[in-house]
Amino acid sequence: MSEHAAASSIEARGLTLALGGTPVLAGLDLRIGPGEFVALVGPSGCGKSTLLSVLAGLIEPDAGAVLLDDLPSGDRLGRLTLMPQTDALMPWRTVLDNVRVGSLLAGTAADEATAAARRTLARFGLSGFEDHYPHALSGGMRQRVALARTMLGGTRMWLLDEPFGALDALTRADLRGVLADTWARDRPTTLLVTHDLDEAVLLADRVLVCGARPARVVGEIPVAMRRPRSLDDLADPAFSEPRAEILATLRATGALA
Amino acid sequence: MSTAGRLAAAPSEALPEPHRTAALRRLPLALLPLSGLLAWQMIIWIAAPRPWLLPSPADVAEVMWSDRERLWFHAQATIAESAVGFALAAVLGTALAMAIAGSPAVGRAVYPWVVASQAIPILAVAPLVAIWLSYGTAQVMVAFVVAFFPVVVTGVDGLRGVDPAVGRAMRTLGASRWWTYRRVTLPAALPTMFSGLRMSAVFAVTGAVVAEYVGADRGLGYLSEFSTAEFRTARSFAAIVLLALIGLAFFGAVSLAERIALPHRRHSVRPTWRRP
Repeated sequence: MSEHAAASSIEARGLTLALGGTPVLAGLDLRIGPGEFVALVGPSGCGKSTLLSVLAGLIEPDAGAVLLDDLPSGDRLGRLTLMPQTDALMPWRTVLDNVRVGSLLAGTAADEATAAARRTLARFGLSGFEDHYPHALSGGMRQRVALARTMLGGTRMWLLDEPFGALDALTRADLRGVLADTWARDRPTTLLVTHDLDEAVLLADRVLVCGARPARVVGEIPVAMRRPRSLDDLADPAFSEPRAEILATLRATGALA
Repeated sequence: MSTAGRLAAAPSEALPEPHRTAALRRLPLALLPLSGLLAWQMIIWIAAPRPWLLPSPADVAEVMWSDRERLWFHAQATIAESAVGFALAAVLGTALAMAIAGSPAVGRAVYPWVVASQAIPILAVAPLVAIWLSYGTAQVMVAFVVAFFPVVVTGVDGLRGVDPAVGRAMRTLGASRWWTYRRVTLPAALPTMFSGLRMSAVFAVTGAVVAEYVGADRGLGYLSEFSTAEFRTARSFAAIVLLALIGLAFFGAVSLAERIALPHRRHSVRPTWRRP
């Protein structure tokens, strides 16, 4: 996708935010290099989703800054694509129109957007479903459509908020593969929030551990495993060691017994 | 080929024919009116009331045909008043719902009063409206007032109930606030809004008729009122039957508009009439 904007680095410096009097972020720092895939794991309700909203520019922090390519960017809404846990498809639009919307909003001409959407749907195994409405699709298929929309969105910075959290284990594993392939093709700068440690080590170059609220990064575990990776590799020490380390860090935060 | 034909024919003999199933499915729909008509006719047969007290269904049907020109003249007036009242309620009610749902300040200042206004019995106010306004305008006004409330309430509920996740995702894809409102929030609220519009359409007819009863020179409410006063009960019944049909037609028209506007509610695949 050479027509896409460059994959920039994303950096958060001292992000602090209180919502309704409750501190949610307390001086949070993180940096994701251009084209890097970083996963963020942490206890439920620790403020991970809020962090993504701040990074995306939907909420401004009380203090601290978000830097893209080392430049402060107050007006970054629309530069980083957020993919929520629910598929967030528009039920009144067909699959094709839901996918097209990403590239149309990025300013692509209608014909080109349609062609790109059809190509991506074909690659995601959704040929023949272009004119279907989302409710006629399974949860896994809908999430593929959402992923296709995110991909064609014209940004190369992705914020994925537990995108497979609502799916069953098999569908999850399948979509994990789709995401890994898509990321490998495009190399967008990616931050994935997840509860699934296997998902984190299978997909990410680096895993950040987030402490209980207010959120701050309490651990950073690199995953030095070749790509492409597969579920069969989970027993490999290159996976099992960082996975054990993540667990230990989570225990230290008190999130796990 | 003949084998295939026989094989295909065998199971279908065991099953009821398609059109018979369709008729069976519609039977419950006819059950209530048919038993109502039967009960009516039974009262006529058993109690034999004088025709001016309770005409038979056949008497009413006869009047509907013989007096059709007069009935149609008055029906036109009622349809026009209800339609204009409903259209005003739909447009202004939706606009107010958007203002209330969009601004907490407007919501706090206006919404409680919109709800409180419903505590005023419309029957008590209708004669005053009939004094203040000319014939026709008074009927439109009362129809509008009655039809306005469900549009506002369902509009506010629909707009406030929209899942913000879709709009947020669109904003991060570069959509403007206005785009998100027009293309995400409004369409997402439409199904709820249509429930209000369906109710409102039927209420508008009732409102127009109430205003015709208290002061008008035409309309089915007016016809029914003076027919009863003259003990022309069959004609009064005929007007009431027509009013019910008009209410149904209004409801049906809104339902049809909903089907056209929201094809995804009834179809899995985009219907051909929606394709570019």
